[in-house]
Amino acid sequence: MTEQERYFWDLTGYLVLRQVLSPADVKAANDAYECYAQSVLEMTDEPGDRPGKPRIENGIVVRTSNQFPHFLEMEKPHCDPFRDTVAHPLIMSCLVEMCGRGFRLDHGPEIISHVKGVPGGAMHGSGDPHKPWVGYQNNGESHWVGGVTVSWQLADQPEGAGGFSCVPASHKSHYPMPEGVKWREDDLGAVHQPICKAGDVVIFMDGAQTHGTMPWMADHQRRAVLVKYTGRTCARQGPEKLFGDPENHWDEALVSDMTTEQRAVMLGPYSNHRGEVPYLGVSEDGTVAVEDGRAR
Amino acid sequence: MTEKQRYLLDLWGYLHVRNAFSGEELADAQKAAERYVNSKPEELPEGFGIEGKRHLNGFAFDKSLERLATHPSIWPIIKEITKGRPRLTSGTLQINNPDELKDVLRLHCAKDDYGWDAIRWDVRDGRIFCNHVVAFPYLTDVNPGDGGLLVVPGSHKSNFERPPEAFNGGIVEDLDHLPDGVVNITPKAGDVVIMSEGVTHGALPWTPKDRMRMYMVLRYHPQYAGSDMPEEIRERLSPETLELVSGAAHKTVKEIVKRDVITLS
Repeated sequence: MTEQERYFWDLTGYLVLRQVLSPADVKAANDAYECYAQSVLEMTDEPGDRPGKPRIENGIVVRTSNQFPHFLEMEKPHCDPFRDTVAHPLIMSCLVEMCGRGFRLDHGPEIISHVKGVPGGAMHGSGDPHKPWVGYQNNGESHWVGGVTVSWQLADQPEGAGGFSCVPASHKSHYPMPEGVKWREDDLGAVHQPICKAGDVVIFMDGAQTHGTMPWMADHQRRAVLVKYTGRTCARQGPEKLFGDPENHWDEALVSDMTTEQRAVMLGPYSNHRGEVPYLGVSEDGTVAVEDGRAR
Repeated sequence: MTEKQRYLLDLWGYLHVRNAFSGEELADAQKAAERYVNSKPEELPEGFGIEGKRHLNGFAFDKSLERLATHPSIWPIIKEITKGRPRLTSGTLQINNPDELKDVLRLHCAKDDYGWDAIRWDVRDGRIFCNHVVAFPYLTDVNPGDGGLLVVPGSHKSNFERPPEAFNGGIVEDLDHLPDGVVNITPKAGDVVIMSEGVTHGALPWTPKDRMRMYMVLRYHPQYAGSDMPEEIRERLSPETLELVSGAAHKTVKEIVKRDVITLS
């Protein structure tokens, strides 16, 4: 990571690295994507045929689930372009500084492949409220952020195309995102869409920085592969969610006769993305109880 | 300060207040500024003078300019950002002439000029505090393509020193080649830009051949910082502005701070 990249990362909460992938790399990844998309469309709708539920609109796969590493599982050579991204040397040199040594892939890769007319998503994430597991910290010498997403561009994202957008500097915001910014109907001029070419890589503070997906407006299909990392001791939305129940994370015999409250602290680490984690509270009389009845 | 203003000011380190003043207020201020600009140096009253683009103590030249220092559009913001302890430490009238050399103002900020400890930006109890704020009331229009103020949004909170080679070495000469992260602000006459001196900023060359850029540079510090203005300037001021430019102890609450709207006596 160069001094300029470090400065810009701290300043804005994102970074664009130009032409990390060669045209041949981009073509190989796009070929693999085409193969994957075709296989999804040929699947039946029987339960279990579509693990991770790719989103399909008008017969086009427009987004894959971020919790299932479809692209890493493909047969060779199609898995190679994606396996090459997850530990790419240039990206690693950034991540080891951004997330610290021992950083790890939390979830992904997923592909966003919107076509013209596919609606965008809400802006989300911010420096306020601060979320320690994905938040940004800087002591003037070193810096750290719990959630980093690396977005490999397999198609151009020209000015006005939509797609990835962010609020630069929002990772340090002391105020929550105003309502109008969320869906961009009154974005106050704060929302920015970086301009990218196929082969570029966008790295952003996922969770700390306000970001989202604008409706895709270009005639060509958006192609972005998102790979999501975190620090060694953090968990976002990866497989930990599937294996986090106390019986899996520890041992069935160990937890079998525990109370609901005791089981709550035996849960494995993952973010409470859908509000599924039972939080403990302590009442004034000292009683410990699971809030909102979310026992596991 | 509205919630949206507070969000943007904290996010970017500056705020563009549109249509802050207009009509007679604007026309009177424009006429007074033109009078100052067109004066021969030897005709100027004591305490005034011209140093290149800077027309010293311009805010005290006429009541229409003095009023801008406590204008209702910025007064609540100035009060909040100085934690209710405001002091106006300088008020210059600044111009860019059509016939001037087309030089750029290199990107800079208080941290570059005086060190990282020169500027503070904090948020406590939901309120922003900064110890060096500048308000730029604009007296003429700046249109896209004209040139003028450049800012690096968010740089007031930058944790790292700006590398010397960043943003083209700090020299930005034309709008078509703005480096990523740099923004050109184009206020209209009657707009006010309020900015932390910690924001990295500079200026594009002024390009119009038939118009000047004319704006005030009003600097505010906490009342326990700064130094006294020349006596000949202080003598011209209304009591309210005189209190604003005067230093005071940390815990003193100035009378003007108790008011939401200041009317000059």
